[in-house]
Amino acid sequence: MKRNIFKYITLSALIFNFYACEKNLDLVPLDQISEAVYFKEATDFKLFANSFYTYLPAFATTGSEANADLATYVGGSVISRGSYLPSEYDGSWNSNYDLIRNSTYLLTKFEGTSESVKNASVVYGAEAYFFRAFAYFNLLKSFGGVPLIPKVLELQDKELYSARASRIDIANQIISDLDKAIAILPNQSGLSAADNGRITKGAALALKSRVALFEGTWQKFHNGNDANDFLGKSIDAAKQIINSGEYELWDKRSQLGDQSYRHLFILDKKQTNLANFMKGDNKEYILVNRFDIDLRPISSYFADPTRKFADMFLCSDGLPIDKSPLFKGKINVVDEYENRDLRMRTLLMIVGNRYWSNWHAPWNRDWSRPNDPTTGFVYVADFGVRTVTGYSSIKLMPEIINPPGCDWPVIRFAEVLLNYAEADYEKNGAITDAELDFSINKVKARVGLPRLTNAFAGTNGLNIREEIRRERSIELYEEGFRYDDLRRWKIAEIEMIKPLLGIKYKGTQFETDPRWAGLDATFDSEGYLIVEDASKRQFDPKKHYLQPLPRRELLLNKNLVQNPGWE
Amino acid sequence: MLAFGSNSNKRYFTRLKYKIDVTDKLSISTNVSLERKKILEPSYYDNAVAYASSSWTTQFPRTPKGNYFNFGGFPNAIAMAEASGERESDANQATVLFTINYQPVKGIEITGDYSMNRQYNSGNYYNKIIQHYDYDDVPTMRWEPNSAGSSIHLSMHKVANLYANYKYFLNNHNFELMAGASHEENDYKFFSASRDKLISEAVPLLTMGDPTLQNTNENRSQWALQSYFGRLNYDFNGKYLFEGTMRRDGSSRFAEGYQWGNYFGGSGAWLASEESFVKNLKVFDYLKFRLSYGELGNQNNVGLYDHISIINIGGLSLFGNPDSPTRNLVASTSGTLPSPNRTWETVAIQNLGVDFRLLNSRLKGSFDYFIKNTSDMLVTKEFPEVLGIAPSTVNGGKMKTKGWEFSLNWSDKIKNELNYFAKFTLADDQSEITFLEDSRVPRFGLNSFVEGQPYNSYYTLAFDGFIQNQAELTEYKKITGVPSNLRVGDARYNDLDGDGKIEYSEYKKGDPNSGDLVNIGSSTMRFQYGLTVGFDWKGIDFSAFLQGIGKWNVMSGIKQPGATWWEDPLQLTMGKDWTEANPNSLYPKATADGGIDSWNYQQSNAPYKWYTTRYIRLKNVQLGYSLPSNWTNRLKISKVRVYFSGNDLWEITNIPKGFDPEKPFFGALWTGFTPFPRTYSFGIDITL
Repeated sequence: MKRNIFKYITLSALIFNFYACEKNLDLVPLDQISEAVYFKEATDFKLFANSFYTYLPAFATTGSEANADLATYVGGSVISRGSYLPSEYDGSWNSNYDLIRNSTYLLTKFEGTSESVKNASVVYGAEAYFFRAFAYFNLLKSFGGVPLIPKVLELQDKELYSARASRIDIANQIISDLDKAIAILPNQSGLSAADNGRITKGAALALKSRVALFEGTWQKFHNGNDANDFLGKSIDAAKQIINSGEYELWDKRSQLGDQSYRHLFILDKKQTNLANFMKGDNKEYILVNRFDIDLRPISSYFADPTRKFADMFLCSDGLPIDKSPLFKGKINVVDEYENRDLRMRTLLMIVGNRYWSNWHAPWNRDWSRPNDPTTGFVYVADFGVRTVTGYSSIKLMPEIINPPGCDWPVIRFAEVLLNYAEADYEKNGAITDAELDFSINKVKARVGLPRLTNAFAGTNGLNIREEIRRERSIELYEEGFRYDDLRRWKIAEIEMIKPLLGIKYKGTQFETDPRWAGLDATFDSEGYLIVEDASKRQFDPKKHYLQPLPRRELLLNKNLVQNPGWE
Repeated sequence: MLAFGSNSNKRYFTRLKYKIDVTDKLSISTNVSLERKKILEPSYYDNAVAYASSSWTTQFPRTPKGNYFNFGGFPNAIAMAEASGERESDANQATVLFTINYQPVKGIEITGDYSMNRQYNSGNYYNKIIQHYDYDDVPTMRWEPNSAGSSIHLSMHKVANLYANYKYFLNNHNFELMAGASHEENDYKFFSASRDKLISEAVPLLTMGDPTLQNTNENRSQWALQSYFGRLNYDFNGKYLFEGTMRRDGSSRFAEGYQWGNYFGGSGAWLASEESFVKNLKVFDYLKFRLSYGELGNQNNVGLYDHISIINIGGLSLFGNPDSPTRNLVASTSGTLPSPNRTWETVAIQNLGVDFRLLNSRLKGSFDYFIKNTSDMLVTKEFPEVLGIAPSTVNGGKMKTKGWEFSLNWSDKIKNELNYFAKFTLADDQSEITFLEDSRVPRFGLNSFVEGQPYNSYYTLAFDGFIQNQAELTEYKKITGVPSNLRVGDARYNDLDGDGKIEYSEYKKGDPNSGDLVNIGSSTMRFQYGLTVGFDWKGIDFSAFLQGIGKWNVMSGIKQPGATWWEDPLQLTMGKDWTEANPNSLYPKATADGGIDSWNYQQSNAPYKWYTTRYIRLKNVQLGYSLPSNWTNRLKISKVRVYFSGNDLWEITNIPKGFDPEKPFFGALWTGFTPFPRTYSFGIDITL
């Protein structure tokens, strides 16, 4: 018995020895790095700058096209309709101030680092400047002037309760941050292969041209004083990019024919077109939110185009449908697509055309026999498919790969060319043929449209400003520009209150074809499907040009003043 | 458990206990227990459950040829269960408790104990490719890629206590002194790995996956607690009892200098049934009055390292060749400001109680009244969002909770054959936030902390019925903040301060510049009660447990059926929404407009949003029969019992039918609907 007891005690002692208590109360995280030991190497700055890229807009946010007048979805958008109310919190307000804090935070971390680390990581400081500008621009677009936060705030800082800076101050802050970024960032061609996808000098210049055009035209059309100053900056920035030769428009008509334009937006790392172009063949995108079939697949939802968008496309002679003899009318469902801007034939799904369908099994996607009905294009756009408006968009809609991994274009070269044309026209009240050829005519040429010249406009009674705006609205459709453009041009009060219309129903194939006949809907005097009646739409010019600040922010900070009309 | 796919759930349990008296002064005991739980289920179990309830009623399970059919964007729930692959979890834990007891002289006892809980949980899963088909058996939606993964959780929890007890008697004076210290610590480790695109689904291991498509994850954490404690008891003749306590607690969750808190307590009791004048009443078999005051520290809801500024490494960013990008790590701040000067919450409880037994101790009962004061309470102080990061909680609030508890217990037997009992408990408490460091502006909706109000109070607009005609609508639309596209049949809320605007700030009587939010009540459960009754008679045993809440305000989370058109609407509003023929409806006019939906169905005191509910529920009922022991003894079995048991079999509640009264409207599904099961089980217990 006694020996057993000693064995027992020995065993117990062993347990203590194996698993003794060993901690005191001063414990540190085991799987995280404390700030005190971070920001010692250039890699530390690089990894932190990587977090900024998660704030880039992506596919999920593209419902925004339905906020304007060129697209809508079932139920419609409260923004488009003007029936929204101030919200308590605003996700965009919060995430943009998060980004402002994080980018400012990185910039403060250069203090006390060695000269060599500073030199090796200065480019990530430039990225911080870029993203801080990006965040302030998002706020400026929605709210106008907002509080300008000069530092990384602590709970006791009085700057938490700042009043709103003027919109000019915010715009100047953005331009100043971008100038700092431009001075440091490398060109696209100067990026190492491993850094492809990071912010470049081109991206910062392009954002500068976008911001300066936005604020320049806002100043011009909303009774401001600084229009020409900003417009001049927009022109200069755009010109630098165009002259740099770093980017070129996607034009693969020689290999892909008329469908070339559509394939720009659905390039992937698997074959998505007959010529087997991949993402690497794209020299047009300046900054993307990068996706990947395997590593970061996308999910997307798009709205349906309205009549206004369908009618906006020029005929192939460069004339609008009400002026061109080439326009075929709308009696048959496919008529209106004839003799039009190639983008109409590639952005909209045409009834009866065959498309790939990414839901179909791989054996139905045989690139060697694309026109074989058993192995090739298996989805026929069906006349019976009823979208809200009767039109279907296929821009940015991957056809063959599921899940898709195509990139989201945050900035692309076509926009820069259009920024240039518009800023030049608005600054000078006119634009020369040479300037048109330098900019907008390149965008028109690749979709088979003739040059826009002052003589052509004069002969045909076209307004150059209208044509520049038309080109922009079509080219940047679904990319989140139209709502901002209508507001800065100060024509939202005219355009947004018009009814949202769909296809022409009365007197066309729609009315007689059994698949659409007997549609229970309302129609306007010309026989167009009314998707949303004008009586349901409003845009109060004293109110809706700016969004309301979140209510909670106003309650917590008495120095903040609500936007007019929302008090 | 699902009706489709592989499902099993196994548990094993064993316990080993020793006590050895080494000498008459020293004894050692150990208690070892081992537990194992194995679960096997479909790898898309959660999807199977979610899509089973959210799929449209028009969804066919299969196509005529037997393929999985899918409708619109909804995957097939049966495919999710049957064709998905499996996930397996194997949870093991071992607990060892080792105690040494030493009595050097009479009256002194020294106890040391050490316990260790080791948990080892491993899990693995694989997902197969699932192909859906349309009704013509053309392939449609495809769930891919396939993948496999594996994970391991390890935790070690250790507690050591050492304390000494000293007892001293002098005539009728009894003293007892106890002092000791304890140490507690925890270690946690987690590792997981997975790969996509398996070469073969026949051997679904992660090694079969594509090495460039792998994800690995490792987490570790640790915490420690230390305490010193002491207690002094004195009683006179077992009739007058006094106790004083102190403890000093330290936690690793706070920064140096804020880790320790000191807490004191004292209590007195009077055993009145020992007094002759009570004995002479011949009513009470036992009667005791108690009075106490005690403080405790609380560190719940404090993160492990909240006081340290942390950089998180993780996430994913894609750079490099756009057609074969490389994954890059992302560093970011933790998302919450660190809180270096935070410390323990203090909870001080005053208690007054009485215990009694009557009628030959067949009736037992107790009643307690308490006041709980929480100080240095951790509250979320609110700052403008321009801060750009979530503020940490601060020791900035005080809360007072008053409550009482009552219990009554009757047990008796009839003719030594029928034993029966009934037990009833009832409790209630109410809290009030008595102080807040920042004078909080109540926000729309649920507010945890508003000075002068109960914990978790709702502030909403005041519902004023539905707009019944065009004239009312025109008049109402003159108010700013009313949606311009509001219709007859939609909800109307009061402009309480009468300034012609609907404002989401608190209404203050007589102040036209205040706002229109009112406090409509707190979501705290009130008057919680339970009743257990049972009997046993000649081997038959029966028990039933009823549980309920006397008053509980709940906010419905359901929305307008049809407001999101791709969801199948809930049945409950059918025929009950506003129409001209049904102007006194419960629900507003139907709409597919998101803006109108959020106006009508915003949180408010409208009767279709705000339910003052109460419920009583039959939580459990059991009926069993034990075979006579003279039968079982022959088989060398000490007991055999067959039983029927049922859970949640019946309830009365006033929330809409189909919702779980215990979790109303808190659904995991997008419609805010959690189906709840009624469980029936039959079983046999065999004790060897």
